[in-house]
Amino acid sequence: MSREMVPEYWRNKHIYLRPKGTVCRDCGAKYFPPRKVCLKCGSRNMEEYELSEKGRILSWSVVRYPTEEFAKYAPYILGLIELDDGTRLVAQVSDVSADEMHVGMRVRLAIRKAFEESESGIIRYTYKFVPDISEK
Amino acid sequence: MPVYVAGYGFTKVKEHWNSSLEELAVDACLEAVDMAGVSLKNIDKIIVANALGEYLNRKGHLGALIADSLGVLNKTAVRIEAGGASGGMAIHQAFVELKAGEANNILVCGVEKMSDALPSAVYTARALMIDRQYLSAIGATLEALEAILLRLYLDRYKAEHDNIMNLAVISHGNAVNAKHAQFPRAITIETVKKSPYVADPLHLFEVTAPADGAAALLLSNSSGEAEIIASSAASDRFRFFERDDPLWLESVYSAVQSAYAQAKLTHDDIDFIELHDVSTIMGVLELEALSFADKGTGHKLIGDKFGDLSSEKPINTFGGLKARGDPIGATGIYQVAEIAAQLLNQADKNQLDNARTGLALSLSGLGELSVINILRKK
Repeated sequence: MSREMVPEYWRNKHIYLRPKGTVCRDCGAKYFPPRKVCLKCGSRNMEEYELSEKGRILSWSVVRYPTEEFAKYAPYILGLIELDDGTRLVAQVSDVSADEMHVGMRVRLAIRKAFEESESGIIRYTYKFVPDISEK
Repeated sequence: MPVYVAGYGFTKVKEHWNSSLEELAVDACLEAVDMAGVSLKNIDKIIVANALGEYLNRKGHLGALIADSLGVLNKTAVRIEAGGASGGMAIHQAFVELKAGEANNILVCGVEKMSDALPSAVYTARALMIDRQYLSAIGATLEALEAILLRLYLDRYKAEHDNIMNLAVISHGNAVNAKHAQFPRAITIETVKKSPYVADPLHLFEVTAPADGAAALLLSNSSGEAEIIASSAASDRFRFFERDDPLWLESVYSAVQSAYAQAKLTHDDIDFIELHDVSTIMGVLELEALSFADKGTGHKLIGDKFGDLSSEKPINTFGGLKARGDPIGATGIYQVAEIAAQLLNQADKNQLDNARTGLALSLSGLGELSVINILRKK
């Protein structure tokens, strides 16, 4: 029962093409996803900032029973990643097999296809992470 | 005003191919009303708990729908949706109003009808309980996030996965004689291990299965033997990866501390616990946040002959979410109905000795919202 949500993707595509966080101008706390109010000091003086593009794997799983949108792509790896600026996020991990995954593995940001809404629908892209071979 | 469970009712948890969502709800409600001896016209309000009706059944506006199906008209009818915590939250809302004396009799009914949809739709529907923008839209499922927590836990605490799996074994063991349970049969660690991964390293037998079911409570401030002595709810960071420690369920901790304070008791005074064991790992984290185990040691407790019906601190006395079943919006109501059955000595072969105080935890997603209800025998 997939329903195309073109406006949702259009509105959010900047997030998926280059995820951004916010930093509090008063206390320096960093957030991903972006927030309008700082949780630590209550300030509303927040500004956008570019997240680190590199980080490490804290944990991961293999999605074997996906939601309908991702049905064609399973199995795929989903990772909990800590970026070098200390923020965390969840993203798919590509270009690696499950048995090569390990805690602490260095990864870097990449832009990949998320899913196709339908045969003739829009193709959604998203941030994923791939092994950072430059640091090997 | 005190709040009593004057009556309860529930259907067996299974695939009810020939019953609609509202038929299941009516069956459970009539049982609760009849047990309480309260006439339908004396019900002041109906609160319906349902999590996924829009997605799985293409049905919304369930407050008025269930009220009409039951024949209760010209009264307030409302639906509560709070993901996996819908049932606990519906009870909490009724508790608040009865305490305040705004009503005398509130019928709380939880219902979920999951067999109308294909399994892929069920995984999609469950993912409504997690964030869309930063989780499900990039490929996350609830089960995969639980698996991520499981791996994090195994790695950080050097825990044995077998010990964590044992929670499913305990729950199934307690369900063997439970007539309303979805899976009233014992399993072993080997059964869990042999089941495929739902999301590595989490096995299919570590999570709940789709189910249909309805449960109802007639809550009243006039009389009863089973009293709800505390009810408390708390939320946490919606995306678990933003929490200071993703392995700590702050919403459970906050809700239970506030409930313990309301009831003027501590975890030592709780005789038995209905956990929200939507997966083995969540059950372990819940035991830690409820203060029954120190942080990082829940796996040892579970691996150590804990929780069966004859033990010192029984859990999931009719099988919990894993074995009694998890018809999501109804689950929190089943839990409290089962506690009432224990307190009223109506638990048949599952009856605990000297059960006076029971605690139910109703939780959504990865603990984005938790509700605690504590009951005591009058």
